[in-house]
Amino acid sequence: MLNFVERTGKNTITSVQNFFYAMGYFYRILRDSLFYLRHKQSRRVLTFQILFTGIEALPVIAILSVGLGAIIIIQGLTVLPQFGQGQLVYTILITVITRELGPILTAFIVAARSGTAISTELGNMVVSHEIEAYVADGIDPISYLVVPRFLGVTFSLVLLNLYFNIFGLLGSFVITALVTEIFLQDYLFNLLNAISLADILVSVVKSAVAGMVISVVATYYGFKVEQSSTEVPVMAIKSVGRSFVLIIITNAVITVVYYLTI
Amino acid sequence: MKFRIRFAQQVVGVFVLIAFVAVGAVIVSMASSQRWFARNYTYYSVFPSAEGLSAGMAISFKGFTVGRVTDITLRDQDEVVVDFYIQDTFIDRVIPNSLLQLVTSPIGLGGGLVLHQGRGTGDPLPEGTLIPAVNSKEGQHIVQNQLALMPASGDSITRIIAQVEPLMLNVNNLLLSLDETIGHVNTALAGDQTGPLGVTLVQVQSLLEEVERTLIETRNQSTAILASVAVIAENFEATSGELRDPTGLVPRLLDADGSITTFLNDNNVLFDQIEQMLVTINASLDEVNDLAGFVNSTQPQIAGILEESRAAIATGQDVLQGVSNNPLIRRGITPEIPQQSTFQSHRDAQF
Repeated sequence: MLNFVERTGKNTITSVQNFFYAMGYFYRILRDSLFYLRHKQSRRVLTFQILFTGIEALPVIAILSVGLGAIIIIQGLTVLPQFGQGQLVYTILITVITRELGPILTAFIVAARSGTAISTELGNMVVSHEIEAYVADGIDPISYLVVPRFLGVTFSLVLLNLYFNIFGLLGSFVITALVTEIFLQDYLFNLLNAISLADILVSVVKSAVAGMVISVVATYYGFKVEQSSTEVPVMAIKSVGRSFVLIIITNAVITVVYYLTI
Repeated sequence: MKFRIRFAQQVVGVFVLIAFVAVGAVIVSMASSQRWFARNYTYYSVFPSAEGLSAGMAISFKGFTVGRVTDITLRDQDEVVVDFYIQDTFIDRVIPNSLLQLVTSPIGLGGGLVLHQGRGTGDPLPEGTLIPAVNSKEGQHIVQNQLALMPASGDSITRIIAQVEPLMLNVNNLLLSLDETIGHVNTALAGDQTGPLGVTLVQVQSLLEEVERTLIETRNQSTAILASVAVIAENFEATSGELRDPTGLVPRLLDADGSITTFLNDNNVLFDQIEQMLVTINASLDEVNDLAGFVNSTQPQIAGILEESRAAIATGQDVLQGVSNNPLIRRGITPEIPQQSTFQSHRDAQF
């Protein structure tokens, strides 16, 4: 009984300490990010991060969004007119592609691809004492290693979300036009009337927050590797799992705030 | 070195530019399509209920969205005020006697507001004025006087509902009238009304009370009568007992030395007298029979004479009334010289 109480207290204290440590870590990243783009060398690192995180994930995002959009349009145009609600297909398309599924699916893909890559990379650097070498040379590992990944992933996620919308809303039209009769002018007119600036804004905010979550969690768990290389995959898995949970929570919070404010 | 590594900055630049250009194009298209910078004209309408209404609801005219609902508020008089705008491109459709109608799907699939244009031509209504709802008093006046163009709905179910709705309203009014009538009848039956029916029912009630009093008196009288009848019945029973008695009244009457025997042994004198009387009565009856036959045969003639007399009297009455009412007759009736009738009755005939 005493052990249980002691263990509970210890876990609680550790959790609180980790939370405040993570908040302090996040604050350091944000503070260093403000001055990051002043350095010319830093821009090149950021460019590569966008290349690896954004452009290399684009094919997967494109296929996913086109398929999802085409399914929504085809099902919507088939089923909804039977209830006299054919116009709702555009609202559903905007809701699913732009506002809800777009940011969250893009974040899941980036967390699975780039989140694990970042955790693994930083974990291996810890194991091989590279981080110690940076510190010994007076280089701040957060400024040099974490901030470009933080900015790169966040920026890439926003861009990938925009591409998800472009492919989901326009690419799916091409696929749909192959299997059913649909007119581009009519489609664009209804789509532009259904979408609002708030939809775009919410989508961008969701993807930006998800990008911050993925990069912070991935770098945090990467630095949590202490000695052994066997810790690297463990931390990578933990970073993905924690990223997924935090992405869903932040996504839900933003959605609730959005519906409360409109 | 890979192409995208070698030209990483260019690739990323294109990647970013395409995304931003696409977003910019979408926002510009949205602004154009959703008329962000266009002028809107605000109006208001009054509805009995906010059910089926919502802010942002589209207002359509001949299938085109011409405006949207901006606000819905509840007044102190429990009226729902709906503020809405009409786009500047459709403002010339909003002329006097225009109406606003809430169209809801009969199977619960939403609805919308439809603008019905007023008949004729005219300048657009000034901004901020009332566009009445169809079901409001002003709207009903416009509809009944056919001052607005109200095309039939394209939805067959809605058309049927639209036809059924007035019918149901009439049925509802009928039921309300019946309810009111039954209320009046109930009030009258309770005797609380001063109208003809109530007075009649009060009179009926007093009549029934009178009948009840009469019945009570009759019952008292009938009790006395029944007592007399009982006495008679007792007497009759005693007489019947006498008749049944072998030593009673009948044997004494029929006895050889009784009164009847003595009465009948008179050498048929009584019998002959009775027979003579019967013959005389028979002859009288024959005469009466003949008289009845004569009267019977002359009865139609008598009835005809009476009918003619009655018609003549009625005609004479009409003539007299006409004469008395006719203002053209100023000098009275022209005197007539009496003429001797050529007809003479049979009584005046000379034998």
